[in-house]
Amino acid sequence: MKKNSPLAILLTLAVVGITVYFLIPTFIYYSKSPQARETYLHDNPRIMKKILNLGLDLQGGMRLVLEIDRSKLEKGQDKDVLDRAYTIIENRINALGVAEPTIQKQGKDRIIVELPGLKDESSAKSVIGRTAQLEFNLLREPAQLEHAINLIDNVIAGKASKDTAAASDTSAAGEKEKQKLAEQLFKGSEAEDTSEEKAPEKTAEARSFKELLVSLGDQVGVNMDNVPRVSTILARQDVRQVLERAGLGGNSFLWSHDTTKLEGGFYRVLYYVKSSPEMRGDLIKDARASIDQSGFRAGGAKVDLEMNAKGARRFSSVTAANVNKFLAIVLDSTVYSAPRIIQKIPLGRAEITGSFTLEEAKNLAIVLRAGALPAPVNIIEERIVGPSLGQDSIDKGIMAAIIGTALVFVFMLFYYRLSGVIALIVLILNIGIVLAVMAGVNATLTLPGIAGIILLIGMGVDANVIIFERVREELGLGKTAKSAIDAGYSNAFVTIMDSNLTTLITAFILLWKGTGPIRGFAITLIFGIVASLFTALFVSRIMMNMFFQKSKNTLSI
Amino acid sequence: MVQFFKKTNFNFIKYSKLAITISIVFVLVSIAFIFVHRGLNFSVDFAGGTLVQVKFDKPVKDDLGKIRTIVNNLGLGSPEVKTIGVAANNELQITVAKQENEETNVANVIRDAFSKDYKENGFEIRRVESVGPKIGGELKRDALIATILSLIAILIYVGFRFNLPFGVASVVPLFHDVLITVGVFIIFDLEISLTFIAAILTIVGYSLNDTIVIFDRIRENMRGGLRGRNFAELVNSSINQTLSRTVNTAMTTFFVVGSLYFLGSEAIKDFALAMMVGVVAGTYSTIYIASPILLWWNNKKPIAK
Repeated sequence: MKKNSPLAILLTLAVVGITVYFLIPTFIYYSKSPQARETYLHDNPRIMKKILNLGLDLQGGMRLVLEIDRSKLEKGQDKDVLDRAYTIIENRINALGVAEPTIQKQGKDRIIVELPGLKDESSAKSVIGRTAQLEFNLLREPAQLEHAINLIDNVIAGKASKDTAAASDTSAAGEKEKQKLAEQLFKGSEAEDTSEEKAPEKTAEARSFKELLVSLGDQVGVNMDNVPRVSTILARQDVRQVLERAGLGGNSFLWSHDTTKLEGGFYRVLYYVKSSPEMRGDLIKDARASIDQSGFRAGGAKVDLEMNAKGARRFSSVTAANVNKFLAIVLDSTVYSAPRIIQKIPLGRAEITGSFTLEEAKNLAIVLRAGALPAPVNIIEERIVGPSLGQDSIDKGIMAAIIGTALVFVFMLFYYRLSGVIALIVLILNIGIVLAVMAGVNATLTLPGIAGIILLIGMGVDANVIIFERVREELGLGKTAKSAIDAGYSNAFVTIMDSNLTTLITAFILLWKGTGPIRGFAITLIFGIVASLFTALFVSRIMMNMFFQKSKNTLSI
Repeated sequence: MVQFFKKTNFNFIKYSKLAITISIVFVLVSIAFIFVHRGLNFSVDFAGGTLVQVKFDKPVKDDLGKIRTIVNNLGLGSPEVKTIGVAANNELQITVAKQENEETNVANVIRDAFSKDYKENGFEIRRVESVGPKIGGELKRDALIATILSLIAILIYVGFRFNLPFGVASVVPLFHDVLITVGVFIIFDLEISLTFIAAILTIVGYSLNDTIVIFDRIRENMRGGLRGRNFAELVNSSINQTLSRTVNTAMTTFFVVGSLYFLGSEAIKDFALAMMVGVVAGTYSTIYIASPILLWWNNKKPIAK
């Protein structure tokens, strides 16, 4: 019998080690309760990239395939229509606040949207299917923003609304107050603590509105972690009533689309705009990004904006009346940019400059065109799985896997005795490798994927069955245990390679031509075949040598 | 040593004509059943339409008539309503054929109808699958392309690794296995869905695996111990030599797809059933179809390679 080569042993140990290493994060994550998972996820934001993710069919969620309806577009409008539709849909999905959404373009006119763990699928569908709204809204003065923030803060701090009403009524006192507030707001929490009365039993959630904000010059920013909390506060009935009573009902808070990186993480800008737009996107004829060729901004990116005749007139009067103010470009209630109006623009041709890259300028141009031109989409495929069904599928899948493994185990033990144990150890390693590779490459486990793994339990022992049968035959020819094992493995090698490679061919075609969850099946099948090839040819051989070192003419096979 | 087959020498080749006749008859019967059932039972994946799976708090067995009346009055044509799952009897699958007005949100319509007219039983919509007719057609086309492509790829691979007769002899049984499995689904009017296609391609892989193991042994015997013998004898001994392996692997695979069928979730049951049929068909075709074709091609003379 050939001795175990140190290289083969080392390789096996390495594979086992890597398998365990890649499975640890997945094991830690899924052994927690759903609540504990959320906290854990918050503390380890990158964990999702290291664990085995569950497909929509297992964790519940919605998958939509949207197709652009080109028949509703006029000639010449269909240029970059997919990019426009993508921008609109991405924007809306971000507004839905679903964790880990995926949005992909497919082919020339399709967009695939996957929303895991979605609760309210019918409103999501209507939000996604709506026509895009592009608007231009004036930004409010910083003083007004501060005033509003102060009012909200009072509501949150639990103060009676009459104080705030008084503050806004007496304008002189109000001005002074505002000044003071502005100082407080941007100085941080220490100033607040000294000036504010101690309100009893404030929860961490509603401790202070201002604490959730940071100053960004004339605007305020909100850390990404606090964005949902701020949105909730702004939507509160009492908050809105107070703002309305203070005469601020005609203004709205809008989030920026882009995030800014500052110390302490990523921030979104919270804009305060006049609710009624100055003009709408249908007045835009075209928008395109370019690089300034001359002048002191040469080399900088810009967006050239062109209005239609009606738009030119409207734009001319809006710009004339609001020089030096900021005009926010708002697509579906999200601010993409808020350039300053430098001068009156009479002829309907405007230029948006700023410190953006060409890529950013291109994106802004897409936003402007998205509002100008319709990009009608139809939902052509929709799959929704409720979370309870997903959990059912997982539970039943695990049950089927356990019973299936047990049956195979009993059979192998009965038929091949000690060698059957080897086949079983190898089998468990196989499943481990498949799951570890999937976790390592951040693949998704789907319901058909579970079926693939269960199938692997049955088909994966095949390589070992081939080997064992071959070894038995060699023993039957009167060979010694050692040479029977050697001959068995070398004769079985070609057979195992040929038979597994052909299965691999069909698995790859399934991966290539399959859709959605079926691809998940193909992936587990491919990893499974490769893993079982490796374990049959290396690992089971090493164990054979170890188990039967002292055997002479008989083997427990 | 436990051994099911001790140095067997069954004459498989002798029965191959009978076996092929049985297979052909079965395929013809299943084609006849296409007419009995008026076409294939395509799932919403392929036919287009909407499937809504509803789970009720209490069993609905006695209320099925009432539920059908509610569903039939929604202006969605006459949807198919059937219970799914084995034990509880509280889960329904409602399939609505494709609508002319695609804007209708079928799941919402059904939800509203149940909460208004069937208040006595709480419910939860657990699954919605809605596929437009265009996608359905594409999925059908892709499934067909995938199946045909894998057969061609296999023909090339085996032709290259062995030779052309082996290639043809390994692909023909795959057609057989696909036809038999589809046939069983036709006869029992079972749904042909995306997972069924995955099962078909897995069966192709499995059956081929089986065939290759025997062909490999035939090739080995041609070069070695049994060289110069009558080719029919050689093929027959090769089948006998690998019989233990053929049966054992079929058994372990059958164990797992069986447990998947009886314990797995609803969506995977048809996959498991197709696999069970496929494993039996694949094992049978390897022995009774693949090897005889090889034999006839070579006119009972050994081929050199």
